[in-house]
Amino acid sequence: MEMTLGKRIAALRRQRGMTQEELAEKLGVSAQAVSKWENELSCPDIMLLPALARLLHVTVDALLTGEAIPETQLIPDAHRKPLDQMLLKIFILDTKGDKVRINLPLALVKMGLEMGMSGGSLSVNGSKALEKIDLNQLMALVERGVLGKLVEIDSGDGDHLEVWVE
Amino acid sequence: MRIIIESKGSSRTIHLHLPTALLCNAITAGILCKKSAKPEETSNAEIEISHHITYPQARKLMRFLRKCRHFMNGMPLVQIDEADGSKVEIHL
Repeated sequence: MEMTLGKRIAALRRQRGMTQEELAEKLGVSAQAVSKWENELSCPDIMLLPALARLLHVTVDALLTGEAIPETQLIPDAHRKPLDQMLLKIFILDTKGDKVRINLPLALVKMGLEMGMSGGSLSVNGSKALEKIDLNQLMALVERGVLGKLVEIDSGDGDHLEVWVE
Repeated sequence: MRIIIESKGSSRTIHLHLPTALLCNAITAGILCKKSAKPEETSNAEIEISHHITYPQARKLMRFLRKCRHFMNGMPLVQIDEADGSKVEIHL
């Protein structure tokens, strides 16, 4: 059975670890509106689609058609964005239920690496998960055109960490 | 730069709109430099930098953040949603 727009929104929202209220707040609509979209009682306004797609980490096309887009992609040279316009997104959900999202301009990360920083230099809520990430290797992957979800860690103590480059 | 603080049990949300240059300057570079050398421990959700940053490096980072504002204006840098309902957001 083909997945409907509402089901896709619900699935993607859960994947991103967001509640209906959080998604609604970020889009400037009510939680009831999001609930209606997910239950196929109404559809999101066309003007909201770009913001909704951005929050759910998919393209508007993928959101509407449901075409499977791999979470990690190799982008050819011709279609690559300059490094200055890319973001390193870190999402951490810890055992206590705290959610931390950090968006860093990739150029800033590169500058930090040149200063000798590493993944272990940044600690979020005392989580050790970032320590194990080799940011130099991540940067090398990005420079070769690999974008999307680059790291996903479910640590033994229950922390969940994702690193995206977009 | 926009800072939004919503604490648990309070109906008020604090919205601070501050000039980026006020937060990213030579003085804050000095504070960052000192803080990175001696990170403090707190019980709340926190982000800390344990790598020691020198003053010139901190100034370079601050300069870069000010520059970022021109092409990534309004971008959320940090969003913290604590389990108890408190929220902190920092937008460029």
